[in-house]
Amino acid sequence: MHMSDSLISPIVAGVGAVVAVSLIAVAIRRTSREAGDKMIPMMGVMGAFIFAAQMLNFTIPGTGSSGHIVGGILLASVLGPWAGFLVLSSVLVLQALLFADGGILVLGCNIINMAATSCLIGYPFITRPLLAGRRTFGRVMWASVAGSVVALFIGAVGVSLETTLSGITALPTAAFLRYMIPIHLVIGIIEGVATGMVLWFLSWRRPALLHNADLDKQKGTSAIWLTLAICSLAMAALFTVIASSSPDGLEWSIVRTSGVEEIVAPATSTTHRFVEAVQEQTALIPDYELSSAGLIGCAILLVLSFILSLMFRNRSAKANK
Amino acid sequence: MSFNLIADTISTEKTGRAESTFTRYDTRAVTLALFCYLVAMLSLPATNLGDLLVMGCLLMIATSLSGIKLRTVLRKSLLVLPLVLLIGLFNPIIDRTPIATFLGVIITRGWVTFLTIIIRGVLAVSAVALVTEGVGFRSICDALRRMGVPKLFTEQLLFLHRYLFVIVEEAQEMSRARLARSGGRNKLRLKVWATLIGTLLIRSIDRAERIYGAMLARGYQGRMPDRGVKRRWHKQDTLLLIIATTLPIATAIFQPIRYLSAL
Repeated sequence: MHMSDSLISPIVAGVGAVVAVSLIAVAIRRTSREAGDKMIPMMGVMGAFIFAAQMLNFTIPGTGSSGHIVGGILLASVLGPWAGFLVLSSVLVLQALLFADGGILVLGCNIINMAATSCLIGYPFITRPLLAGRRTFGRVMWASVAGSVVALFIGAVGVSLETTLSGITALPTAAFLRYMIPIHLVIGIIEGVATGMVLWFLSWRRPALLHNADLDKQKGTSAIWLTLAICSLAMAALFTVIASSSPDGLEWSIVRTSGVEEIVAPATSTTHRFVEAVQEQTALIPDYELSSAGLIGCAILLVLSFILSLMFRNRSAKANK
Repeated sequence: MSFNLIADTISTEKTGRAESTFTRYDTRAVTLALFCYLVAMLSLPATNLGDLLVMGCLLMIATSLSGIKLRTVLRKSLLVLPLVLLIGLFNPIIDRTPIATFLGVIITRGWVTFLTIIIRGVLAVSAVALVTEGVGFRSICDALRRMGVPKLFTEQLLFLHRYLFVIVEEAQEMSRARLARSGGRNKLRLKVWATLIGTLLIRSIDRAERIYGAMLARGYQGRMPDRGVKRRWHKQDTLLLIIATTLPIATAIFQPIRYLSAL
């Protein structure tokens, strides 16, 4: 997922750098406050560990090919989200400077797409809540796979948007997303399974090493909601890929019967024109131009239902008091 | 990232690098010049092939003045080519607007932008490789710290660079030991891999704790001692910064080749 300098415009790279530097500044403040100087050698050695772990390739079951982990969820699980983010950002800096893996100007975008998505979104919002409760093999694997898939999905969307916004490639956003999302969903599952295996090994051999090792004493209340949310996002992603390749049932039948893709209202009808104009102005995603429209719609729906559930929960909590 | 690439880079880092002209200058000046060059080069329009070649010439002049072999600088840029080719290849297919004719052959904008993407990729990686080869990773970390990057970040970057060799060697030893026991089966099953990585992680963390204990015993108070004599900013650094930033920025603003061809 490392982006190269050649596909990005300086403006997009600059915005990415500002966001990444702000996140790093917050991470430095949080890490120094929590652990102080003790974290410096620990973070350095963990960064070196990630390099070493990326050298050892495992065989992907059923395919014969091999792969390695990026290690964001693993780092955050051991060091905590902010320190994990700092270490993965340093690994990206070293990869860009010494190994020509990813550009220098685009480093900010790479840090957002790879380090921030896994350590600051995937781990704290998905993996960690899912790990709450009694730690079983299935729970560890599910938490790890879900976290990795969500992180890689957001990362893939980020890469597509940053590249197409730069305007260097002629590939449209929708086509880029259609090409990136399925590949990264598969990579996310592989990364998640591999990370889950290492996390299970650690929780068996040295459970105290895991960040917030006392999670197993907490109740896993949010796990069901998170599982539902992730499943609905995955379904939306799957259906948009299917929907983009075959037209809507009604459109298909219109094409079959009339031979045109969309029946245009008669130009003389002022009512038609007025209603159309209103619809175009008010529609958030006019005429589903992107294949990702389903995904965006689903995400908006999820956020709305989450806010509603919070409102109801607050009310019921107040009523109980 | 492949094993050969890491091993190759590590051996270069371990054996040290040849003396380059860049070491005579303050690393802050060299690093700032690199940033200006990258911004100027990447802000050229995607269809302006001529001025991009001027940027390439500037980089070649800098390479020959630095005393670093052009081959060393270009070699790393080959690594970035597959990804750039993969995405750039869509341009000739999608964008078929004709913009010029050459010996009777119509050249489309897609082909020109495809070439531009490749050259941008090669130049960006070569420029970074030139600076890292010329001044070294540790000097860049020093420069970043002196430019105001917080200590926690630069110190752990230095630690990462220092322990990269140690941990990678440990991983190599573990991998070799597994191969010796595996009876010729090269493929690493996921279950075995997880045990191997888990053990390496536990060993790395134990090592980090030992290092911290040893550092405290030697009077560590949150900062590594400065290496050698602290270098000051001289007139020659200002001169280098002015020349190395003015030329690429002027090329990006005035685009001389495009201007001449319009005449």
